[in-house]
Amino acid sequence: MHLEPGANLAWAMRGERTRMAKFVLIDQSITDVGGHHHEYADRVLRAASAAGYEPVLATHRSYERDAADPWAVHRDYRYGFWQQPLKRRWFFRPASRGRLWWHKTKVRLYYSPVGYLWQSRREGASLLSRLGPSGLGPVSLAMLAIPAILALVILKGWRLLLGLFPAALRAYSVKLVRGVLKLLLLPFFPFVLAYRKRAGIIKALRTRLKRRAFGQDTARLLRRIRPSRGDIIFIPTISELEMSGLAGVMAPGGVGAAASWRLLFRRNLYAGRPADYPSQDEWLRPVRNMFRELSDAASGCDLRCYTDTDELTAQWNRLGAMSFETLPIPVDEGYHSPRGRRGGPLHAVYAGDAREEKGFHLLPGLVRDLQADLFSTGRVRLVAQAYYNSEPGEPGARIALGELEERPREQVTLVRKALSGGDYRAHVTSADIALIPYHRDNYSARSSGIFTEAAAAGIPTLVPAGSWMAIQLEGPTHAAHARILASTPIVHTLEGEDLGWFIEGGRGANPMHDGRLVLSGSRDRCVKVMVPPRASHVHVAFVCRMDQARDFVGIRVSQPAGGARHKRQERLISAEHAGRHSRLIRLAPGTRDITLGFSPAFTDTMGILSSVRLTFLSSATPLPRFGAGVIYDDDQAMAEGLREIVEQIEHYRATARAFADQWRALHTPARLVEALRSPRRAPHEDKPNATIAPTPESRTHASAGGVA
Amino acid sequence: MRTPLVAAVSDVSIGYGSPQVPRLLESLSEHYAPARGFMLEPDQSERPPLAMNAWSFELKRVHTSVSHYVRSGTIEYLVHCARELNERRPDVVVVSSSLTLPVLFKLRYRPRLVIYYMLESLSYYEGGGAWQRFMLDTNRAASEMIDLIISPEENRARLDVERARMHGPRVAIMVNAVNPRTPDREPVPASERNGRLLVSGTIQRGMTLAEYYLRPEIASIPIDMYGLIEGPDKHDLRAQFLAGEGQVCYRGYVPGRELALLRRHYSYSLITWADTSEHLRYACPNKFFEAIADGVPPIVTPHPQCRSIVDRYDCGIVMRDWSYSAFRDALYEAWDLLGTPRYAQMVQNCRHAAHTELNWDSAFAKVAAGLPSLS
Repeated sequence: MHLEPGANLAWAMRGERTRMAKFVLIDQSITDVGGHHHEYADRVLRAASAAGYEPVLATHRSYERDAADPWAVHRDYRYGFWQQPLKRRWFFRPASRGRLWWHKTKVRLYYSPVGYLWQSRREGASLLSRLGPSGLGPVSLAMLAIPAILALVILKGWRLLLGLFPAALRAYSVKLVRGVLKLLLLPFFPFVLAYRKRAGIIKALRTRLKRRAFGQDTARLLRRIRPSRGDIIFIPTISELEMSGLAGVMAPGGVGAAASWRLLFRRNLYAGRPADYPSQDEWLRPVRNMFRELSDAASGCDLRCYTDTDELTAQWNRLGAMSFETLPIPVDEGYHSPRGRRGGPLHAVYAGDAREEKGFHLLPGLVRDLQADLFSTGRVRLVAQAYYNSEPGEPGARIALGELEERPREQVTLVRKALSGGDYRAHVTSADIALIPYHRDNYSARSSGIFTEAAAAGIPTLVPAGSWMAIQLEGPTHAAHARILASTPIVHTLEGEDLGWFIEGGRGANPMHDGRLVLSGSRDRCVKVMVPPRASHVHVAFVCRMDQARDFVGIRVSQPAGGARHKRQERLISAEHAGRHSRLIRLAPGTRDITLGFSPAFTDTMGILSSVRLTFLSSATPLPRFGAGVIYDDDQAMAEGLREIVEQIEHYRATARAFADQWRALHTPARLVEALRSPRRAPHEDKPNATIAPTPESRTHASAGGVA
Repeated sequence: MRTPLVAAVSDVSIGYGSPQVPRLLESLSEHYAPARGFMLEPDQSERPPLAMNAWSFELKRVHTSVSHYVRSGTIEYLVHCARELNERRPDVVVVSSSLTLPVLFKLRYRPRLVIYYMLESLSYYEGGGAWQRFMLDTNRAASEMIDLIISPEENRARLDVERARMHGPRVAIMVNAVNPRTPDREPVPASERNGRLLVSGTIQRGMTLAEYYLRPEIASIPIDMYGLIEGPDKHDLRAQFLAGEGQVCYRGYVPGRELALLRRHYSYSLITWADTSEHLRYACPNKFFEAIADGVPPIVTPHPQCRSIVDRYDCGIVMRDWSYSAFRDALYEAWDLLGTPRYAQMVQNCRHAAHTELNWDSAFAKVAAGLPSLS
């Protein structure tokens, strides 16, 4: 019996009697115990083991295996996901140091008497009268000027000499000299060309080397573990480049051809919003070709590709080269038991490395904006991880860290290191509010680990509109609105088709026909309604079929307060949930009318607006606008969002806990393993992180003609 | 032990514009007390030397054969400054712009602390010709010589640090508020203001939205405009302002000291810069902070820092965007608020903002917290 180093003897013996199918998890980025990658692998492999598989883990070569690893560990991979062969500094550092030295020399020379003379060279005799202040005495000037004059004499002499010959002969002699020089330099031309194209050459070399290395490392691994039919090989973090290196092992007769391959892609393929995708299709041709080549090479191999969000799946399916499905996110069960409440200030927690993409640079502004009423009063404390994944850190993050370091510790506590395992979990679950101020375009389709963890722990979150995280909060928000509508006195209700709509800035007929309104272009489709007395809030519900699926609707709200000529404006961004949109707007005191303008939120797409309903409510106290967290519409509104969670903390805690029950059921390691081993789903079947079912309250209200 | 020496190389003759660099030199000298300070300033013909050095540091004017804004004059100025610095070997050296930055390359010793007070945006040098590239490369090459970068606005800091690849030095943000925490005089009470709006500084079509003030809808709002009219059509613009009917009045140029005395009587101060470049988009106008310090609520275009401050302290009005309709709506809102308790509260909030955060002492304290010891 061949026993792998560190293999579990019991499993090995079991395998000898009735061979258990293997579940091989390859994560080329695992370099240490306790990191996020290792913990992810740990959760999934335990679930695989519970499902009856023999777990096997393949890691980076530098992984120091943990004695507690209850499965075989193979350390085969040379390059992690982010690593590249041919370190950049080998090639670029000498050149960049050389350029730096040369520029410094130029600066020193320029800002000197030599540079002064050069800059003044056309000024002639007037220069002679300006000697004292420059420090150029007659002797210095003579010492510098004499060689310059000599050079001028030689140059003039040469020109005069050339002038003696006919023009054609002059031109020929110049051409001859140039030609001879070029001929002498010709042997160096390939090096010059390579130097000029060095960036492209290095990139091409790295691409090839990395692809080949991944393929070779995988082949070596598979030759050792000998996978067969029924075994699953799961790679949870892979790039298309690495994937293309697997063609050899998946090909008929290849060492991995019999196994079932499951590849998970978690990065954006497209930039921006769905309306921006078509212009990027051609640019993604190389990626498309990689998938096609692999698909062709691996014909007959059980290969399936996944992402972990529906939005990302839509992106990758757009390639048309492979069919992608959405996998659940295997949340650690340790997040199912958040820490109990404690006294003292509420902890607003930022987790993860300090990066502009994650909004770290927005934290100082958040603290400043809420300094007076939340931070200095001790109601809230910011607890933020503040370390850089790669030194010296991005400029925005460094500047922000400097600002945060100046704050009193009782207001801002910084954790200056990466956390893993229990420490990280403790950091997240210590939160009363999880701050996730991510760049919404970058996270419009990508999942957020901290969001999934906070959601599982029942912690309210603060997230940007237009992001994947905001989409997840629409469900609990709709549920919260349904409860509010059921329990708050309704002053008046208006149906959209009964209202006078107009296009912003235009005059003309009502653009709504048969209860439907086309949204397009840069001009809002607006409606202005009178606010009934006693109304404190208005609930806006509508249906909007966007041209691009999963696109967002913008609602511009104008409220002239107290009859003044000026308008107070805000812009809300809404995503649909169960086919509808729902937003709750607080009315400013004294508002007599309100104007709502609808448009596509981000790009110039089209949509059909219908079933608009405005419900005016009366409440003595501000009503919570969301559920399980707050969706803020732009960076300036982030502070207001945090303030709302603090002011309504009991509501947000309760709704976050209710959301957690549903979230946990969807996102477990067991469900992930089940999805990997199950037959391929038909497109119409439920996807793992699709709409969370409406609550009974909302269904009741819907049947009463309320929200839905 | 030798008394520490703090030096600054200015790119302008001081005493005329905003005194950030002299204030920094004074504050550094106090921080490193009993340090002595000295400043090298260029000789600008349009800015004669002050009759009396009102500062607590030594001020030396460097005379060049041509203006220091001419390249040969710049070289001459910096050669002289470098000689002075090499002779006196200050422990702390402050440079305030790309124009004076090259002096660091000429130093024959390493100061204990080098501060780059980045008052000028480096976006000017991006995408330009050979000279602009040279200046940008000079900034990049200077990175390893600099210990601390001070910037007045965090977005500009982030962009310029990235542009100049200054990944090593610490970066501190110090807002452009030069007023002391404790003011010389209390603001004029809200009820005693003159009910007019003040515009001061450059008046130029496009760059400072001068054309908005000529619209008929604005004519009914009492606005006094002080400053120089600039731009390619400055003569036409001036004629239009002088011929205009209504309550928008152009009152010509007044020196800064006189303007400061006038400003505090106004109900609002209008600060409008267009969003036509990165530098203007992330502007942190001195006039904005001066208005708040005088208890005059600003009406300001939505530059991120200005918006953040006004929202935080509710001490003014921010236009929702740079459009004319937003400008008009902001003026109407300001006019409607005059005489109301909310206006009086805004005036109070200006005082609160100036006292708690928007003053030189608070701003410098943030920088001082991270300054190294010279011992």
